[in-house]
Amino acid sequence: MTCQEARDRAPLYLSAEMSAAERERFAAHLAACPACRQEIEAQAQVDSRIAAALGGELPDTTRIERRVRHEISSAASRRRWVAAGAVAACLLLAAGIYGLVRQAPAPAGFVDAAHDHRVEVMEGQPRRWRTDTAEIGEVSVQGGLSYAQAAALAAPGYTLERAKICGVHGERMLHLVFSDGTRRYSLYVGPHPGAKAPVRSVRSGSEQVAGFDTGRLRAMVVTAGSAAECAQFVQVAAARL
Amino acid sequence: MRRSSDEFERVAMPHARSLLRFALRLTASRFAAEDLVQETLLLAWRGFRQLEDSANVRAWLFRILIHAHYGQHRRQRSRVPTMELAAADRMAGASGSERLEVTQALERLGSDHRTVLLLAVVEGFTCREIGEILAVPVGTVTSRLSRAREAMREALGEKAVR
Repeated sequence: MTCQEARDRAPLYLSAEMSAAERERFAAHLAACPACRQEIEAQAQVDSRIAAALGGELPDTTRIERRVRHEISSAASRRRWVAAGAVAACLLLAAGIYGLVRQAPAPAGFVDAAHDHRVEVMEGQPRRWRTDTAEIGEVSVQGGLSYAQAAALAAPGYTLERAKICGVHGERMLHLVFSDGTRRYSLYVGPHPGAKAPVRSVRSGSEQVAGFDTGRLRAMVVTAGSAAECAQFVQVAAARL
Repeated sequence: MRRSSDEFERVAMPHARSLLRFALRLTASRFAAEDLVQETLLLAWRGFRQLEDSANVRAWLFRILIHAHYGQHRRQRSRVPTMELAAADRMAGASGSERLEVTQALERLGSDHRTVLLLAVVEGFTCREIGEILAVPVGTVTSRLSRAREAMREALGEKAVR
């Protein structure tokens, strides 16, 4: 070990961080080099003076500890309040969602209407449809509408193609089919005295269903298209019924 | 692991005194030192839940203190440093003459040298621990310590061997 190496490594010797082997080599160098030995002894002497002068100094920290404990307990208290508030907010939110769900359940008729549309319109199962104006007028009256009123329920770009009376969830309803030439959607209309209900919309399998109650009638739109298209179709119906 | 304030009280708070001792020499102001230690302990409390079980709590606390000190130092760079601690040391009288001589010699050192010397000699940290506290390599610590000891000897009126 050279003198320079010894002096570079001296801090590790003084802090007892050398491996046994390195410590042995270091001690061997000090034994053979009076200058390095004197230097290390002088450094150790400085350390002793510093440690003796300041090492026994243990200032009073009562005031600091009191302030820190106060801050910690205040923060814990704040956290407890925030946690309680979060729980309360979650409960309110859950209650609100539950209330919304309870207030606006998807009527069972929606699912039946979706199934009916799929079977009768999309799959084209044989049914006795009315297709000429007079016949459509006749079945429309059974649904509480004139032919003109039924035809006016068509969304822009669509025309009334056919109609028939069908049973949906135990209720007789007028089933109108509107077409733009390639696509079709169904509108079910039937008497439904009771409270008014705003438009509600659900997805039922591959169909999107939206319906509302006017207080006198119930109407449901069913389409295999998007929710946005369904919303557009039902808005037209809601505006005119 | 979820840690409690009781555990913080048990493993961190006992180091408050050595933190303050170090902070007093770092800031040379009783008020600044107390503020620094308080900030250190509160920062430590916030990070305590994430501290690994195997962590060296004392070294961790000193590291937080150093970071907080240099953060404060940057914020207060334009202020004139308070030296009321040196005045208090001077007023300690004859019984404190050795302490006065040592503290005055320490004050003449640069901040980096004073810091490593205090951490090594007064607080008893190893070079590796000081490297962790200051976030520097061990080689940097040993070279700073060598120069700090040499400067301290000169400040104390002892001639270094060349």
